[in-house]
Amino acid sequence: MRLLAPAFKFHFKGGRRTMILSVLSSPALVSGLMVVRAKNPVHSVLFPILVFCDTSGLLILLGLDFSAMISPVVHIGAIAVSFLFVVMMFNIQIAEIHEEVLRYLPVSGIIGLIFWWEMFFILDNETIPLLPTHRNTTSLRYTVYAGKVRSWTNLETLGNLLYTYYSVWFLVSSLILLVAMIGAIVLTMHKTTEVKRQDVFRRNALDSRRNIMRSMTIPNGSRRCFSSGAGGPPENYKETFKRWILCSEYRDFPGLKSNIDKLIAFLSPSEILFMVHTFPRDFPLLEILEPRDIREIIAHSHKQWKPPKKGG
Amino acid sequence: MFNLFLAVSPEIFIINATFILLIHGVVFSTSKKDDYPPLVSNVGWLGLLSVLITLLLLAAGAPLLTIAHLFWNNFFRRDNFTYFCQILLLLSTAGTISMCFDFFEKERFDASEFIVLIPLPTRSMLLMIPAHDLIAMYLAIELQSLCFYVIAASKRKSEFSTEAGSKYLILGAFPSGILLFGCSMIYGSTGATHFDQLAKILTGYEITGARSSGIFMGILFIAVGSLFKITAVPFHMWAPDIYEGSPTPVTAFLSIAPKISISANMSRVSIVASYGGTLQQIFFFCSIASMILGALAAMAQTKVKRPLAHSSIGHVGYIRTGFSCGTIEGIQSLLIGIFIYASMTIDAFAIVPALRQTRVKYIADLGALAKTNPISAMTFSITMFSYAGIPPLAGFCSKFYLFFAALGCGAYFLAPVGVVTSVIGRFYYIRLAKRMFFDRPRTWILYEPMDRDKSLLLAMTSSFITSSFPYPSPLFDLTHQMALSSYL
Repeated sequence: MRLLAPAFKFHFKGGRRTMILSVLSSPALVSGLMVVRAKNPVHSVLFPILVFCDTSGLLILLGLDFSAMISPVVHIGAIAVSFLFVVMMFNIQIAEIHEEVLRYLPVSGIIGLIFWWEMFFILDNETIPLLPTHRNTTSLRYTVYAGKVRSWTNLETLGNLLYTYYSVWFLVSSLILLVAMIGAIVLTMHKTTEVKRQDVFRRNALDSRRNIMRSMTIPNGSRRCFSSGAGGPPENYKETFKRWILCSEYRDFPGLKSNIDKLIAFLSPSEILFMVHTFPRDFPLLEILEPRDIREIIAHSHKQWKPPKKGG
Repeated sequence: MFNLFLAVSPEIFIINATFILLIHGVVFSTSKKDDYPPLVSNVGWLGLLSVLITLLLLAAGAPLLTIAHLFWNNFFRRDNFTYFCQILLLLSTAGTISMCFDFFEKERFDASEFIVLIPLPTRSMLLMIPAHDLIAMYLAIELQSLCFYVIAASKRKSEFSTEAGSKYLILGAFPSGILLFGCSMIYGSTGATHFDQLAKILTGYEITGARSSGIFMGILFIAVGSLFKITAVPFHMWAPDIYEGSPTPVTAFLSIAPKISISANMSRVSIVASYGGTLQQIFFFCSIASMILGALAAMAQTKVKRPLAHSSIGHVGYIRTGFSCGTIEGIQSLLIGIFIYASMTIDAFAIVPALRQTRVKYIADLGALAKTNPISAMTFSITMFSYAGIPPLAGFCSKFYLFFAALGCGAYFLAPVGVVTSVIGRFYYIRLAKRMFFDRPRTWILYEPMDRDKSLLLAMTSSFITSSFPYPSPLFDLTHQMALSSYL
């Protein structure tokens, strides 16, 4: 690279290239600093746009025409616009003027010094001078012929490789964008948007068998004659229920036959049915539990449960 | 060389299946004519089926391994190592998907895209394991991480889940940047991204005096980025929060699958590309620190999922010791550790959601599990003892082999530290078992019975854990073959 660090005496030995370089990179550096220091958050999102423009100019200087055209499209058109959306959505207030910046100095100073040291660690070769020198490198005239060779454009070289040999990478990058799209929809689409939605109540009604059984054991929604509240239950409903359950398909549940008397004493039939369906194998355990505990268990498990008004 | 589509037919299949599932889920769940059916379980079973068919395709493609070493022109290289790693990955993914069904039913979860976002990172991990190029590695890591950010935050009603997702985003995007910076440093210093070319360039790296610091920084950054992704210790900052806040099947997926794929990838990078013990000190330090932290930090936890996160960090530390010594035994012990770690973790994460009555979060709720649910108490304690490394179980097997390999390569500080931290961590696991078997709780809690898929999964993995000690030779042979072929 025939770039000279700018000399203090303003002699442009390098010609146009250094002028373009310095004209483009100094606003980039200043805008980068202003991103952090701007008071208005919208300003601090607009300053990277300036950085991106300068960067694409630098890319043109390096001879990469395709990247210089694509990079504003991607950086400004997608990235800066996303930042603007975020700033717009979150309603960020203007930052305080008297911000205690010096509070961060010890730790951030150390981290900054570590980064600075790493930079020197990497750039340890002599082709990049640290101090301005007056080396004259413009007398290489033979490179004029290099510009007269007809070669492929940037676009052609990229396309020649990207779509043939490295096409899988291209497809994987498109998958990354697909995931970003799916993610945005999964995470943020609420059911109240008009475009496409699912009907929540229908969806709940179509749920599992457990839900159906739950809805059948609610006292007010049930169709069983034991627990409908009209006119109160008949007097010997407990005997009928006990007879029914001992001949029904539940009779083989472990522990049901031996415990049914104890349960009938303080639980209503709908509650017993609920327990049978939710904890089919745990009936022997109910011997050691108090009635109060059993009611707590039912109350925890059945979110729509309201105990019947009359006792048991 | 070869652009053989047959070689990538598992990946092609799984990606097509993902697209078809996505379209199916979207089209049918919004059609008014069919009454907006909830398609989560439907898509879930189809997703599980597609993962299993991918497994079959992979197994059917095994003869291809013998004819050519390099497929797809600078993209990846397949051999026995990648073959079995991919099979393990697909099996763990199938296990995780089958854990999800109960979760959907209990939580009334209705986003069918959740399922689509599980085969998608699986495919990228299938590409990451045999990846033989820096760009391929980065693309696959990025795709996998993006999917995980989304599914970690997918339980929208819970603030924990959102917090987990955003923390995972920050914890994951930053190391992707570091990784890419390392890749670009290496490319800038050597002009090559393909691992074969890097291996040729970096062969004399340590022997000759000409060390380019760009290469060194590049390898360092790549190692740091990969260590971030496995949540190894100096870089594990928010991993327990992420593990706790995500929905449980996501946590299961998150603690198994990336670790498998990134460990495999890292061993590829370190063996093939950087060809020498450049970063051995870093890996040693990370593994020691992970083991210590995993043992100590799990003691102060009161919730159920966070100590599982800490124990997985600690176990990854043990696995990292196998990796730090660069020998074949080291890689073999790494692979044994990963196989056993995968089955133990599937076990642990299959029991935890089954114990939920009203979202069991605290350990005190596990009290007297032995009386209410003796079989799941026993399975849970088998898993915990296997994590602790108690002899007749598989965890002891893997730890024994790991320390053996560490001693064999001369890491005389690492093995005693590992043994001591293993003993310290054992306190915690035994405390869980004590809580389950011998404590009397304040209120008795009954748990709902476990569903069929999870119980099948638990049966398979716990039988693997218990039978691995008396008959470990299939596992040992398999991993020996894998380790040998990765050095070819």
